[in-house]
Amino acid sequence: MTAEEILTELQASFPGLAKSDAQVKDYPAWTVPAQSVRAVCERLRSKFSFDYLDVITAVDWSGQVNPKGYPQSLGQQGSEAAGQPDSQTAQPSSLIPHPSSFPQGRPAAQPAGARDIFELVYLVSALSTGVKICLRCEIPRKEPAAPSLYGIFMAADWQEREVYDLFGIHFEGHPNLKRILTPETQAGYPLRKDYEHVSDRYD
Amino acid sequence: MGIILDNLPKIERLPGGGIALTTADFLINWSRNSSMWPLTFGLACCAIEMMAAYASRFDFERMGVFPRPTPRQADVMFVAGTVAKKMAPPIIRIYKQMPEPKFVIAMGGCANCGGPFYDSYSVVKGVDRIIPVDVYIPGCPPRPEALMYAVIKLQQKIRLMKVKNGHGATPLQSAGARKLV
Repeated sequence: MTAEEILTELQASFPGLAKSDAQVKDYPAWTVPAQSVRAVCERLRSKFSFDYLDVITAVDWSGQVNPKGYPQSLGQQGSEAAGQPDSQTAQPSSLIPHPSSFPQGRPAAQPAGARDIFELVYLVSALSTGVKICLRCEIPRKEPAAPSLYGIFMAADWQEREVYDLFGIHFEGHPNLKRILTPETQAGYPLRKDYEHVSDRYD
Repeated sequence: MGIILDNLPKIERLPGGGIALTTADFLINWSRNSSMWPLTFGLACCAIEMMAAYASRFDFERMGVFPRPTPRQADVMFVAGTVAKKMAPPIIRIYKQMPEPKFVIAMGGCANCGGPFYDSYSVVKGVDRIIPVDVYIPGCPPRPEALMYAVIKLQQKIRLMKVKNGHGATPLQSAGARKLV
């Protein structure tokens, strides 16, 4: 059974399911509403023998990329320097050229595709039949939450903890949703576009 | 005990043999720098070079460097690799578990100063932010020869240690370089 046939069969019970143009490698991509992610995966697992969750990751589509996440001493960019750092941490300007003197590779204006959403990306595959599918699921950036796949795929446990750790997306139904890669003292979610690094005792 | 006294400085042989005189500092330092036992642990790709140094081609053991599986038996810690902030508390802990006198060799750019991850949110900007370091090796990663050179440098440092400085500290350490933050 190919991915196309699976899609048409699933669309009967999940009308929100659609084919997406954005294919990830050789994974045909579908868009799926957040509330039916778990049901779709449950169906894929039970009926179409999708037994392997390659990865869960997320994309922050909130647009403009600026180096705010850098340490304050390096990250100031023109008028963008909102949180002015205390001067003790600032590097002596004679040693390191100021970033504003660097060529700016990224456009200053908001890119056309910028939207205020996170996009969850699930790559699932059926090892027995070799069918692979990429599920894309858009969730609002404000109080982001999605149903957990815990209990369907074993791998979902740590993958969801990683996405929670780096993006702050809350997976409802996950029994142990806490940080996995960064220390407990980490402030904020580092892979968000608006992440601003707060110096801790190790910086 | 198989010690070739003729080649050692500061050794005085009495006529008739059987007794050799030397200073306590020399004897203690000589035994210390002849058996520098490192703690077996690696953090990142530098650990591969460290393992190569232990293996037969470079044969670290001919210098008395023999990896120990527990910090209780270790004299020196090779910080071989990137120190993530999550790894910092365990490193401080095993450093505290090592008996005095203890030494630290920071291996590679990451352990020295954070290296290419200096701007990262998750990397300690040099292991000397959390524990005192005796020898720094540059390189990404340093070759096994560089690690051996660092051990030779540390042996030179140990030869300067004096018993009267308490715990046999080197001049730098007796000036307070050993204090943990």
